[in-house]
Amino acid sequence: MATSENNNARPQRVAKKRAAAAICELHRNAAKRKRVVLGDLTNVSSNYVAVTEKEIQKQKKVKREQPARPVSTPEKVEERHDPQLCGPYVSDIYEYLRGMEVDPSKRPLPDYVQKVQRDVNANMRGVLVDWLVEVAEEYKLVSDTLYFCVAYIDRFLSLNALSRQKLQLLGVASMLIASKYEEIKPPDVEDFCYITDNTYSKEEVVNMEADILKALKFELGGPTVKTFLRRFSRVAQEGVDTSDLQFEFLSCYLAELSLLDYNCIKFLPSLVAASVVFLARFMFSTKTHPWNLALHQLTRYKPADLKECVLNLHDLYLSRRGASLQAVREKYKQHKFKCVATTASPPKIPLSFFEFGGQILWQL
Amino acid sequence: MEKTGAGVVVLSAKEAFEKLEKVGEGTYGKVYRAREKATGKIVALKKTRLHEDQDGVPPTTLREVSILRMLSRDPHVVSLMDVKQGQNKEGKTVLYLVFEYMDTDLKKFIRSFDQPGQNIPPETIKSLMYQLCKGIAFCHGHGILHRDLKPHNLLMDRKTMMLKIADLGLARAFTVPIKKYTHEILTLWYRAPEVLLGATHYSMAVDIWSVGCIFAELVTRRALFPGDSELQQLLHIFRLLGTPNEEVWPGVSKLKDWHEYPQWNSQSLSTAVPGLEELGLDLLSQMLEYEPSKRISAKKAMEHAYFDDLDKRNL
Repeated sequence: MATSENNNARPQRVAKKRAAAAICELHRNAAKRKRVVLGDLTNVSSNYVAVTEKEIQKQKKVKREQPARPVSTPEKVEERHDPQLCGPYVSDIYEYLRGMEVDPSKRPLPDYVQKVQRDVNANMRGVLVDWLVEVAEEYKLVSDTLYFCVAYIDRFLSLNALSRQKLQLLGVASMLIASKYEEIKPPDVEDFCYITDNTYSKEEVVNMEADILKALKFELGGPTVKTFLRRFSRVAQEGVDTSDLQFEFLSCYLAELSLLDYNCIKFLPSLVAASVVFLARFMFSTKTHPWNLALHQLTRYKPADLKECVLNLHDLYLSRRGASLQAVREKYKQHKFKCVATTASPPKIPLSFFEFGGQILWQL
Repeated sequence: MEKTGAGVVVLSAKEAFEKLEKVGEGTYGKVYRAREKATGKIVALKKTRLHEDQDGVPPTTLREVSILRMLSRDPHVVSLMDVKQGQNKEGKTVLYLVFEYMDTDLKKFIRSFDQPGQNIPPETIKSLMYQLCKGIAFCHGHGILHRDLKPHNLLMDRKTMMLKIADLGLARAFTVPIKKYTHEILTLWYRAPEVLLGATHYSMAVDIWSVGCIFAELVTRRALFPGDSELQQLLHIFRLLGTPNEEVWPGVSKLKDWHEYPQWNSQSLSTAVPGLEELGLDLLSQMLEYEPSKRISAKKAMEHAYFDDLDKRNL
């Protein structure tokens, strides 16, 4: 990935981070770290540089103002509109989305790094996506924009070999497209040049946008993990010993962790969403079976179907995978997300939870 | 002319089409009637200027093309045949959306009945309304809100009386449950009261309100609520349907732009839409329900008794 000459770090909202850090009892210096513009992608670990409070204030002054955007917290359950407004269509839409997610033309190749790419590897993809999580936070983009963006990246890389120098360009151009598709007020092209420390010109970003649209044949909709998570969340929260918001934020966190992991590409979005629900329910109630008949009927998955994905997500959560990718983890340590990234989890999930038999009544 | 990796020659828009006449103008460019040189087929070319201030593809075009890629297989949604890139006289990149050509739109069709007492035949209204409900039900069943339904955006073939939904520049895919969307949508006359009152969480019901307004316009040949500002638009609605309150529409007074409005009682719809049969008035009243969740869905509207005597075989 292209490294800019002056390697200026992008200003973060330090005060907010510090407040969150205090509340969540994080390390005091975590709030002082600043993420640099994506550096050399061959270096798997995320690049951080320590900066002083004075430098931050100085940079804050020179940084041009960003347009105000709505806060990017996942939708609160209490604020959700009555889904019955879609009543007559809920099942139609759901059937359509389940059909659409298996359409090969809208699916990335699960092994594109091995089959298509020569210069880009799974670690580089992880670093890129982790950085894009920060970009979405910085510009207060809705979560759907992030999911679409990652989907476009994976689909594009399934079709075209790309040099690592162009990977960050692919990332920002995908975020631009996703923003235009999903946001009420998308950031300008200049904003996306700015966050790469002007590594790429407007013309390069716009040309890459055209290349992506052509490769994807303008097929930009389609279901993501977030789409199905919304669909499952009402039923998923029932019988869980925690607040709806806490559960929702943990689900959002686990789902965003899945974006970082190249190994999750092979799973359908609905399966990842169901696995997120399974793991979140397990984490809030480790002794109770996380699955039930209602969830089975809604998601159409049995625990055995979810096993591989759940274990993958659990490893991500416990930093047994992708430990160097910190943006999502830092994001969900914030107070506004109820510090869900600090939720305790047992190191192992009982394998009996993935099996048939026993006293589990819902199993048919 | 461009050669692809496989050696296939891709013609530019200029090489592939002969422009015949300009038939309209949109936000981002002109619409032409054109002939495809290879087949002689008449098409509509919607030209979109790119690189205005180097911002790339406009969001409306992006959404329209993406959504039409999903919906174009329905007979009541205009078919997007192709997307081509070209250059204008100044050498700027332009995008051409290639649509099937339709010879008129509902606005022109309504206007063609311009003699006093010359009404659109009731069976024609019924057929057009059924096709509109069918097209909207298809959109909604695929998670798409149109958000800009008006007679001008409904294309027609005069010979077959086939109706197709077009101009999805303001359309968007929605989520279940519904998220926040912009309320700066939809031409004023067909705008639902919840949107006029500043709701940002809205749903398919906004399209159904528009369908109701179009229904009335087909019967009377004039707009049902022809407001010239957001306030006037609301007052037009309130005069006919009565000023809403918490009883008829729970939550209305909590909407962002709610104020104290003059109090009107509801009038009978038959006074505003004379000549519409009883069952038609019943359907219309369900389309113009204040409370969005009570408004009839397009899917349910298709099953309404108003359409019972319609021959639906070719629709």
